[in-house]
Amino acid sequence: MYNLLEIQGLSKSYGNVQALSNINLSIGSGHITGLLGPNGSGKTTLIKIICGLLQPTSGTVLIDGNPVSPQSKAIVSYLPDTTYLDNNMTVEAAIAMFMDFYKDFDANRAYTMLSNLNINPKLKMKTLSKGTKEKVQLILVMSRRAKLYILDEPIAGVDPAARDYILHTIINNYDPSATILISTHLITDVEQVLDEAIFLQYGNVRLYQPVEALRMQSGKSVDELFREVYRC
Amino acid sequence: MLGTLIKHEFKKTWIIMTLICAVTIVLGILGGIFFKLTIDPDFSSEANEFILAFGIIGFAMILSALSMATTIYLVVHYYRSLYSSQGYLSFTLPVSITEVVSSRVIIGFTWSLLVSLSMGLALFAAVGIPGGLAYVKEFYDELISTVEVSQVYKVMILCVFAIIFRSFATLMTYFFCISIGQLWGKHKILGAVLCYFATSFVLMIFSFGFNYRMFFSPDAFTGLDSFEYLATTLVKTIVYSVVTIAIFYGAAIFTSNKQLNLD
Repeated sequence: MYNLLEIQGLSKSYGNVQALSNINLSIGSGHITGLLGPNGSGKTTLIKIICGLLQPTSGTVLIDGNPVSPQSKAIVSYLPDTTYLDNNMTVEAAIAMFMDFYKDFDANRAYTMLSNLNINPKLKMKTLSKGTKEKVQLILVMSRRAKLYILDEPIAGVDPAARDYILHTIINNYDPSATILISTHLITDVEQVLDEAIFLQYGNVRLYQPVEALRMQSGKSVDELFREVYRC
Repeated sequence: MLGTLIKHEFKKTWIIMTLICAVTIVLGILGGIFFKLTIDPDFSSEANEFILAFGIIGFAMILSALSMATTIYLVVHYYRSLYSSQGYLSFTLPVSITEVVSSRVIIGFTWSLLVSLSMGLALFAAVGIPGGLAYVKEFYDELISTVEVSQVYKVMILCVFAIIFRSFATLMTYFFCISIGQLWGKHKILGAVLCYFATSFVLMIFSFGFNYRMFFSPDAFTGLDSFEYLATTLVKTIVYSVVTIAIFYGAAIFTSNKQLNLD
């Protein structure tokens, strides 16, 4: 099977702290994969290494056959867990920027989504609420026709109605041949959309299986299984 | 893609930087008008001389403050756009890390150059409006009566280049320290400050090594043509600045490529 994301022997340590330990993963195309784990399990570290924001201590990451490079970044659409747009930038300036850099960016789709949410593209980011900023970023990320979407905690910190909209946006705006990697610990909200789940614990892959198989084997929902695996 | 990066960097910085350039030039014009009024012989008095002295000091201080504001703005922009949360976007664009860092350096140098140019225009206005250019001309005529014209031009040109490269080198030193500071995951600014102290110390040693003759054998300069000596010193300053820029630019690129650490 063709693997869009291939990770081999990936480790990352901060001094004496081992954030990731010998991670091996192969993720194919056309899946929505949940990267699940409690705080400090290494989810964000793994994502940052895939996106080229952190250097691994050892191991390799291949995205569509390319190591982390401008070529891999051209096919990865990344939503971080924080606001990454300049506060003095207007929404339309952010769209113009994405259009300039990403060949796969669809400005019409972005403006349609903004209009659906009644977000004025002329507004500066600093005038928007935290939730609206997150929606704008999600719109930018989902307006690309990328091969791999990496969404780091896309529904954390927003109200339940916004969560529904975000999940709806994710589901309705990705090419079925693309892969989405969603990192979250709000499993109940995302469980319905996941095809596969990766459970991370102490920087190791504890479990990586299709969600349906997990449910069948354990007789539990992914959320229940998560609570059992990570019981304090 | 470097051109596109520079275009967007320019869009992000032009309002503040154009404002600084405009304020500098307007200040020069206002200063010139102020000096013209205060040195008017019809109103000459002790109080006027006092006001003039304060005016000159104030003018110099405001120009220094604007220069400082430029440096602070460019350094903060470099830090924010690369190593704060904005770096998540900057470093996930489909361009090389070298291009990302270079675009910030190029924009920093360009604005630094334009602000220096504005400072020059401000000084020209402040001296020219009250009629000071006649004195400058007088000084120049006196100078070329004793020194060859070509030497005067040579020193003037070298002086301009030395000022420009020196300011680039200072800016690049700050950029380099910020790039090293990001290696401290949770204390990036503290890391940059410590790096700056260490770098300054090392640079001081090199600078001292460059000029050791001045301190230990000042007699070696006896009988030297002062213009030639000045030209040599300016050339040394330019070479020193260019080497500093090259080393720190290379180190900033290398660090970002090999040890990017956006925790």
